[in-house]
This record gives sequence, structure tokens and C-alpha cells, in this order.
Amino acid sequence: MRNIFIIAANTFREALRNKLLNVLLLFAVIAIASTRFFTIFAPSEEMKIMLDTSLGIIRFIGMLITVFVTGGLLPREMSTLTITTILSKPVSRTQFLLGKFCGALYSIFANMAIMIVILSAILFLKFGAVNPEIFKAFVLIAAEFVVLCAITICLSTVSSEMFSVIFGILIYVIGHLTNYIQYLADRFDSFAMKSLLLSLYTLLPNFENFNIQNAVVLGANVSLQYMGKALVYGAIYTAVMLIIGYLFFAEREV
Amino acid sequence: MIELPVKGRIRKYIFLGIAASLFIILAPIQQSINFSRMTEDLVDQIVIIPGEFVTNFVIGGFRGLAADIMWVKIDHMWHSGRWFEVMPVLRSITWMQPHFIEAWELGAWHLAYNLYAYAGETEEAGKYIEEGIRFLKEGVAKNRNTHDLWFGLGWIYYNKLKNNDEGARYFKIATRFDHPSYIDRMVAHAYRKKGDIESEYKQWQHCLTVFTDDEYHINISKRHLEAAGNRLREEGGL
Repeated sequence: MRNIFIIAANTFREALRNKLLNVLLLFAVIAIASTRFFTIFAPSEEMKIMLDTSLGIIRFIGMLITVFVTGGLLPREMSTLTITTILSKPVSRTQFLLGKFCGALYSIFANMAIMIVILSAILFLKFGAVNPEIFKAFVLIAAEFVVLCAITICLSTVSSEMFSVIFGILIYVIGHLTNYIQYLADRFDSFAMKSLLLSLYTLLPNFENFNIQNAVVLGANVSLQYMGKALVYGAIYTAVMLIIGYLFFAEREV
Repeated sequence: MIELPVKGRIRKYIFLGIAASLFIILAPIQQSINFSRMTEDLVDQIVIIPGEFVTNFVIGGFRGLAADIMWVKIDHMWHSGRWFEVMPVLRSITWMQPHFIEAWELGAWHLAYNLYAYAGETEEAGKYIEEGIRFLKEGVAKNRNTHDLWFGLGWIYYNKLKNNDEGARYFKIATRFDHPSYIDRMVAHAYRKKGDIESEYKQWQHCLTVFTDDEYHINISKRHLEAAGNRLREEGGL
């Protein structure tokens, strides 16, 4: 366990030094802070516009931070051969992989926390209160990033940094469109095609499970039961991706 | 991931088995999530038309922002006199965000009031009111548990069509949900205009039992209760 924490802490420190991530975070903070000025276009819908824009920014920039932090973790260690030094010590591959995963999560959550604090402060200054329902959306956005992080780390065990980043982004986009696959499957008569599409629907991550943004912004109440189900889905999908990632990583020569 | 006390290939098969089992568990969880999203009204509309598909594909989580941009566009259209272009845009907004109450309200008002007035004395004028009511009913079907659209529906019947029966009915439904005090008073006004003084009197009595800390509401309700009482006495009802 100690090894995992040490590797995670190192990974976090490394991510802090990553200029690209800092620029992304800075951009997100400026964009969130400036949402206040967008509201002049529709004064009657100030809160809605601010939340729609800010939550969109948090999800989009958060997604980029997640794939950029995670995609390069293993390939960089392999290209610089530091992985050989680490694995020559009493550190198993499982510990190494979990350490990297936890370290990536530290930095993703830290970046997200900064964006959330800025948004909450702006909402508080503007409206005098923050709707607690918004925090449910934050929790599910964080869960979405955990799943995406696990998928990207799984991809990075078999590929280069660039490939992991590109496929991470692609899977994020596809993950938001998986409901279309089910929609298509319902409209096919062919059993083979239906089965293929439904298998794809189950195998691909369904990131829409974590999307309660519209409901929260428009004042709906999302039940804790739903939150629980989405979090369990996220936890299981993450576990599966880490196991598959481990199986690939165990086979890989370093 | 734990280190299993078995080595090599067997361990890999065990991990593979665990991963496969977890994937199998995911299917019923996904079904349950789909059911919850439906019952809790969290499902976003799926549209297989190029524009919408591309919109979803490119902007993913920015569905709300796209609706906001269109909302701003409506303001621009309105001020540049493109009144007939407003409705398709409002339709797109309500399609993307069916719980965006203001979009339903604005659409119905635009049809029943603005386009109705624009049509003048033509046959089309009446159709715009019908369209407004139909649009609002569609909104009500998707937002049953909020007072706004029920009230909006009642208002068109009451104010525009002078159909006080329907007006009172929809105002009454609106009061079942969290609502402002004026809706309770509107129910009484609709009864008065309908000529049902007894129901009006009862409604004003009811008004005095709700929003008791709202001084304005209580004062106005007392005044109307007295007036309704006088009318009822004149008719021999009290």
C-alpha cells in the first residue's frame, strides 16, 4: 500500500509541473469567471446561462486534463526507462499501475476542485447562494473522469502517449453517444446486427449515465438512488478497465 | 488489485474471468440506470437528424449552452422583426431541453398573443391561439409537477379566450404544486367572471388560510371576500 502512495504522490508532483495542464486550468478558470458577462445577452436567464456554460467548461477541460494527465503516464516512464529502475525495486506491476492511477486521480480532482471553487464563489457573489443540487452534478462529473482515467490508463499500457490521448478523447465522445447505439439496435430486424449493436452498447462506457447537467440546471431533483446506481456503474467499469490494463501491462516487456 | 497466490497463466485467466463477470454485471445495472433516467425524467432527446447529431457529437456536454445560444438568438430575431422564425427555434430549444419552462411559456405567449395580433382579423388569428394552447399542453405533458405551465394554460383560457371554466380549472391544478399566492387569487377571479359567486366566496375563504404571512395577499383576499359576500347576500345565498 505504501508503494502505491509513494508512486501516486510522485505522479501528482509530476502533473503539477506539466505546463499544458496548467494552461488548460488557467483557461478554464478564466472562462468560468467570464461566464458572468455572457448573461447580458439574456438577463432573465442569468443563472441558467452561467451554469450551462460553466458546467460545460468543467466537463470539457476536465476531460482534456484527464486524458492528457493519464495518457502519458506509462509511455513516458517506458521511453525514459525510469520504469525499469522502479520495477527493479520491490514494487509489483500492480502497485505501479495503481499508484499511477491514483496519482492521476489526485491531479484530476485537484484541478476540478479549483474549477468548482471558482464557480461556487462566482455563483455565491452573484446570487447570494449556491443550489446544493449542483454538487450532485460535480460528483457525477468526477465519477466520469475516474472511468475515463481508467480507460486511458488501460489504453496507455499498449500504446504510445499520442495514441492514448487521441483514443481517450474519442472514447469520451463515443461514450456520450452510446444511447444512439441502443436506439439503432431497436430499429434493426436482423438478429446478428441487433446483437452486435447491443454488445457494443454494453462494452462501451455510457458516459450519459453521469450526465445530469440539464436536470440540475433546470432545477430538477436527482435522487440519491440514481446517484448510487451511476456511481456503482462507474466503480465496476473502472475496475474492469484496471484489470484489463493490468493484464496488458503484465505481458509487456519493459 | 490483489496479488493472487497463483502464478502466471492461471492468474491471468482468473483476472480475465473476474473482468468478464463484472462486464456481465454491468448490463443489468445499465438497464436499471436507463429505467431510473426515464422515471426521473433525465433522458435527453435522441434525434437522428444531421444538425442535431453533429451538435451532440461535437459539443457533447454543451447541449444546455446550445439551447442558451438559441435563446439569445430569439431575442435578436424578435428585435429584427423576424417573428415567424422564432417558433422553430423555440421548438428546437424545447426539444433539447424539455424542462426549460421559460421556453414553453414564451412560445405559447408568442403564438397566442403576438402572432395572433399580427394576423389581425384573418381566419388564421384563431389558429394561433389554438397553436399556443397546443404548445403549452405539450410542455405541461413534460413538466406536470410545476405550477408555471398549468398557470400559463389557465391564463390563455381566462384572458384570451374568456373561457373562465377552463381558466379556473387550470389555475386550480396549478395550486396543487409549489406556487405563488396570486394563483390562489386568480382561481377566485375566474369563478367571479364565470358567475359562480358561491365558489368565488369559498375560494376567498380558502385564500385567507394560505400564505398567512403575506400581508398583501391577506388584505386583498379580505376585501374580495367581503365583496363576494355582499354579492352572495344580494342573491340570497348567504
